[in-house]
Formats: sequence, structure tokens, C-alpha cells
Amino acid sequence: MSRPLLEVRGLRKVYDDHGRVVEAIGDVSFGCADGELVAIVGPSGAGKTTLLKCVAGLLEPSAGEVVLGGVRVAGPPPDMAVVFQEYGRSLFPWLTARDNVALPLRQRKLPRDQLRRVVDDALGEVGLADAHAAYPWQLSGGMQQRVAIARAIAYQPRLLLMDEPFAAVDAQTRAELEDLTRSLWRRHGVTILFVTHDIDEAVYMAQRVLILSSSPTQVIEDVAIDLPDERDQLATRSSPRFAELRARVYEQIQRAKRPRAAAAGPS
Amino acid sequence: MTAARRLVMLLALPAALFALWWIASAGSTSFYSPPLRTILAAFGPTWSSRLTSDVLPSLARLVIGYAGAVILGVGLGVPLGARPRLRAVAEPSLELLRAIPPPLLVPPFMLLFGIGTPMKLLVIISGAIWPILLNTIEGVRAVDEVLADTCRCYGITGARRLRVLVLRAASPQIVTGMRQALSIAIILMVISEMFASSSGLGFAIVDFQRGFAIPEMWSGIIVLGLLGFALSLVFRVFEARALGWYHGLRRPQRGGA
Repeated sequence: MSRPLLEVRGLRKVYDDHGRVVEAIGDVSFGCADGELVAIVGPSGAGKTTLLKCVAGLLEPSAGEVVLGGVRVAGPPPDMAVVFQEYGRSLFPWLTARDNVALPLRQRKLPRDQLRRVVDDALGEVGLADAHAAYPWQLSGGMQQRVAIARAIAYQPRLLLMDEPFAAVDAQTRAELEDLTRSLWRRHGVTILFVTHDIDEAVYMAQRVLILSSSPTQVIEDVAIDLPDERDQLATRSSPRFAELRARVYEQIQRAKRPRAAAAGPS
Repeated sequence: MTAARRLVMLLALPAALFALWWIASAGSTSFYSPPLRTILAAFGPTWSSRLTSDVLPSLARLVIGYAGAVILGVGLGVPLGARPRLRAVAEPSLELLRAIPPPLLVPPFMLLFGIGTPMKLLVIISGAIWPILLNTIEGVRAVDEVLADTCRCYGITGARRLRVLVLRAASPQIVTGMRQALSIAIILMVISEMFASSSGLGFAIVDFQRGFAIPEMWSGIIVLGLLGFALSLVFRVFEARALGWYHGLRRPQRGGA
């Protein structure tokens, strides 16, 4: 493995919730190599979103540090993009799909025809070549998330963070978006860090799965997913190796929940 | 067809009310409430000569005062909405100032700023600013957290963030405030002209009343009604353009797509 693009070292996040101290993240360390696709799974309430927000520079960690490309993160870095779970709230409802994708690019002062080409390509890649003029609220949930993905890809980040991006869409759309994300990852060579509560999704999508304990969060296992790169919703998901890996991740998560179940930890 | 129908629906009730007024007042012999026929007969000659001397100065004051209220209301509302500390400090004073009925400000403003146009503009601004200011504060406070995070991630900050996120996200509330402020501004325009003035619609109507030019006085009231109606139509066009996305968003979602 080359020197990691992303390094998270001793990350800890403590909230002060009206005088009650809540330890959302205990001590998390991991790395992502350049071009890797890593999934983070954990039981609900494990602080997955908090962790991702710390990595994104949207939240200041209480201790530890996040280093992206050798530079310590202190605020959202310019070579990172985020796809949020709440697609309905992360697209600008007053802008068309096209303008939503173009907005982050406008400050880069690209020549007009180059900007148009980048936006056309991004929308084409997510299968929305004919939805340029539509407003987000005229599109279905899956299509809205496609716009958000197109916006992230057009931004050409080195690191793409995805926070439970498909948790709010139906199962068929979800499978399509999983395959879309994998094909974009392979084509662009972008590093993806992907948070999900869905074990199957994590195993199907990723090269590595990090398993988080429940709060206070730690990484309890780092599972390499040695499935072939060419994945297929039907064949991959029914392969024996997929079942083994899935079972292993599942067991770990169950174990992560158990010892703390008796102790009244913050949810 | 539909456009024609909408026009009919728009004008049917006003036409009926005018007809009722016409019929009910037709036989009137009262000096103070002359027949509508007489009022309308006075309308043309009165206002063709007073268009430049009274109507246009009034409109100019209204437009400038209203624009001042919008600029100040939004300009103060954005920082107040964005900063809870500032809001906590300013809120009691704002509540106090807001409680003063704006027409009451005409006498002290006359002493401080004279009887000219600046006084009238200040009266309009001091009354019309409140709905804009308070609605802007609420709108800016309610900017969606996920959208704000999205802007941070994509490096959209400063003046650009204000333009593409804050003002747009708050625009439904700002426009609501502007709509309320428009009618307040018209009322205050008239009131400010009723005292110690030499031009304007408010002045003209009071002047007719004092000179016992009763049909002319009534025709002035019709002018004001028409003015308010026309301005609300203009406002509606503006609102449809500025908030098209918002009305689309609020419409029941069509399935699938």
C-alpha cells in the first residue's frame, strides 16, 4: 500500500449536551490509500455521521487529526466533495439540475465552453443527460441523488465522502446507484469513503470495510473485501465468498453491540 | 380561453361593486355623497392636470421609501438572522421600536427633518421596514443546515454564499414581508402627505375636502384604490418570477417522474 491519501489519527469527538458530556467518537484511527473505496459500517448511533463530518472538516475534532494528502484538515479541503444522505436538502431547490452541478465550479473561473462540457459530461455519466433544465423537486429521489453525485464528480475531488447516500431511496434505485458509484469510482480513480448502516451494501461496494463499535466509537475491525473488481448485483451477492464476508462483518457488529448493551451508553 | 376566464374572474366582483355603487348613488342629492356619475365625470379633468403635480410625486416617494425599507430591512435582517448573539442584544430594542405606530412619527419627524420629502420618506421607511426586517431574520435563521454544509464543502463562502444561499433560501419569507410592507408604505405615503404638504395624493384629497370639491375628493380615493390594485399586480408578477421554484416545491409532488 502506498502512503495513504487520507489519514485519521486518534480522532475523538466529545459533545457538551446541556452540561452532559457525550463522547460520540472515542478513538478512531485509519487510513485510505489513493484510489481506494472504503466503507464504514457500524451499529446505529455509532457516530458514523459525526466521524464523516470530522473527516470532511465540517466538525472540529476534540482530539486527534485528519490529514488529507499530507495536509492537516482544518475546514473543508478544496479537493474533497461530499454526498449527503438528505439529497432533498443538499440540492439548491432554486437552481436547475444543471446549475446545481455548475455552481461549485463557477468560482474556478473555467472558460465558458469548458464549464459547459464538464457539466454535460457529469450529468451524462449519471444518466441524466436529458434532465438539465429540471428543478430538483421535479425529479424522483434517486434522480436527485444522481444530481448530487454528478455535482461531486464534476468538482473532480481526490476524496469523495458519502454519508449513507442511498439510505433514503427504494431498493431497486439503491442497487442502480451502488453500481453507478462503483463505475464512477473505477473510471475516475477517485478515493471514496462511504458510510452506511447496511452490511450488504458495504461488502458489495467496498474494497475494505471498517467496522465501528457502538459509542464511544472505535474501529474494531478492518476487513479486506477480496471479491473481484467486476461486481454484479446478482452474481456477486449470491457468491459464497460474499456470504462469508457478510457473515463476518455481521458477527463483528453483533459483538460490538453486546458488551455495551447493559451499560446505559448515550444513543 | 383560460386567460380570458381569469380576466373575467379578476374583474367580475369589482365591476359588480362599481355597478352597485352607481345604482345606489344614482338618485343621491346629498352634497357629501354625490352620484358615482358625477364623481367619474370629475375624474378625468381632475387627474389629467394633477398627474404630474400630485400622482407622480406620490409615486416617487412611495417607490424610494419602499426601496429604502427593503434595502434596510434585508440589510439589517441578514446579520441579525445569522448571529444569535447580535439578535439577543437587538431584540428588546426592536420590539420597542416596532410597537410605535408609524403615523405617530409624523409630528416629531416634522420637527426634526422639516416638512419636505426627506420627512415623508423617513415615515414610509420607519413603518414599512418592520415586516421586511422581521421576516428576513426568520428566513435567514431557518437556512437549511445541510445546504449550509454543502456550501462549506464546495468552498462557497462570503458574498457568494450570501447571494447563492442565504438570500435565496430566505426569499420566501423576505417576499412575504415585502408584500405586507407594500400596503403599509402606501398608507404611510398618504398619511405623510396629509400634513403640511403641497403636493401628493394625500395632500390633494385633503385639499379637495377642505375646498368642498366633494366629487374630486371621492375621485382621489378611487385613484388611490386603483394605484394599490396596480401595485399589487406588479408585485404578483415579481413574486411569480422570484419564487417560481418555491411554489413548484410546495405544490403536491407528482409521483415517480
